[in-house]
Amino acid sequence: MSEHQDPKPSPPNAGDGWRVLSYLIGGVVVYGGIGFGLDRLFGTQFLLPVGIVLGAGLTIALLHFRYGSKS
Amino acid sequence: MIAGVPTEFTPPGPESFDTLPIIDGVDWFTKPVLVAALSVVVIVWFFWGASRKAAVVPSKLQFAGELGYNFVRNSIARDAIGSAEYMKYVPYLTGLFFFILLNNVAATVPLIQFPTFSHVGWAYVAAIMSWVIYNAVGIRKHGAWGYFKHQTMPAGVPAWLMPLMIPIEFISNILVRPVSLSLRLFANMFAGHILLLVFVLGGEYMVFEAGSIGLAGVGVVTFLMGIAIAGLELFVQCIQAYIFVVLTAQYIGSAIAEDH
Amino acid sequence: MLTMVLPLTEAGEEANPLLPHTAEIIFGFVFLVLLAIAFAKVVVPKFEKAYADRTAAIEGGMNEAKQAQAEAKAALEKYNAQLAEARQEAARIREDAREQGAQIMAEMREKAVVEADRIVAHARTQIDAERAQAVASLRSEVGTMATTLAGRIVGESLEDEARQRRTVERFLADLEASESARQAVGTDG
Repeated sequence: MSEHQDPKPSPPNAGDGWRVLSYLIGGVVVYGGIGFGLDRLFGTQFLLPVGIVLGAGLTIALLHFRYGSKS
Repeated sequence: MIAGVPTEFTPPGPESFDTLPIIDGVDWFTKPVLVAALSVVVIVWFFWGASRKAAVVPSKLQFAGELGYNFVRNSIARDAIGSAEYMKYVPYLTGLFFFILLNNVAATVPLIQFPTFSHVGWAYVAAIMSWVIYNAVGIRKHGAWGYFKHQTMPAGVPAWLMPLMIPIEFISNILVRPVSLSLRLFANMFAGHILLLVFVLGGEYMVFEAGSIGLAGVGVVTFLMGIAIAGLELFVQCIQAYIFVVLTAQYIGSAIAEDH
Repeated sequence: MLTMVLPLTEAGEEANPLLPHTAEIIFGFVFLVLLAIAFAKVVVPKFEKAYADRTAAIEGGMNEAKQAQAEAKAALEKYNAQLAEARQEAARIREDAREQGAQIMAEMREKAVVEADRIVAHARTQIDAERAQAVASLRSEVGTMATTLAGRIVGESLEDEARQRRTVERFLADLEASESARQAVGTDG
């Protein structure tokens, strides 16, 4: 019976992919939101896209440190 | 409608998901509520029957029940949470999995043919419950402040980048998770059902009401496509139930994990 | 058509699919809690108990098998020991038998030799006795015959006892001497 074996460290599966996606959304939402707010504040137009790109970049960096260093 | 008389085609839209009360005057008793209630009855009946006389040598029914139960218990809960603490969450995860699975598959079952989770309320409540559970177990395990740090400071990130990362980690763990959890399930069911309606109703319209032989031929093809899409949707329905529960289990696992 | 059967929620209001129905939130919560309780109270304990029993049964079976194996091994060892003992015993018995046989044969041979010697000696004694007897009777007979013959030839009775005996004795001695001389020549030849 398999239920008494020690489980192996969980292999990467569908769940990990979705978690990465939630990080990407989180990064874009946070820094895009900050950019959007600053655009509103200063009446500018370029801070929202900058924020979105920054957020995406930071998230990729985060994912690199978080998951890349493991293997 | 009489075949051959051209009429305007009404494409399916959000209003296709509006449901009338089954009994006049009882507003809350709609089709999704009925289907969900039926699914609960079926799940409880099946697993009660399978486990009632659970023995060392399983009967066929018990074997089937164990197959389903083991799938959630071992492949989802134990793999994601770890063998030390997973048993506590198995009842919720099993119930959640079979509830979502049956209600999704209901979209393919003849006569029902309505995915309960295409009404977003069901997806919200399932996601909120999972969210409350994984946060609660995290707080219980690490204390409120410990859990907050745990959920906002990603491991492995250099200290100088940390201030920039904390908002991402926080938003992603606390806000994006439940929203994506519920919307993913809801949107898949909603879109799948609309897609099916477009093909089936469009095919029907072209065959019977467009009044053109050529369109009728296209309509037959469209209708057959609709059947193929129903098969694809069956797959999506199962996958979505699985993903929802796997993610819930992973969130619980990462909330109680020592290092993060 | 299906779309006709499904009218709008409320008159004129555009349906927003992202807005939940309150009833569904409540029912969703109730159903999920019900399911979790049903699984926690009935299904999970029953299944887990069956798993535990199954594990125990398997482990018990393994112990039993191990015990049986040990028993079989012990029996085999015992059997082997007995076999070795029996073999030794058989070898010993065979050795004994051989010894005994040799002894019996020696005894028999000895006895046979003795018996043969006895028979030979007996026969020789008998022959000697018979010969002596024959010689004695022959001597007296020959004496008588010779005397009678001589008297008849001479025509006179050899009345003189002493003379008669002497004559006979001399004759016989001559006879014996010639006899033995002839015998010696015969054996030589």
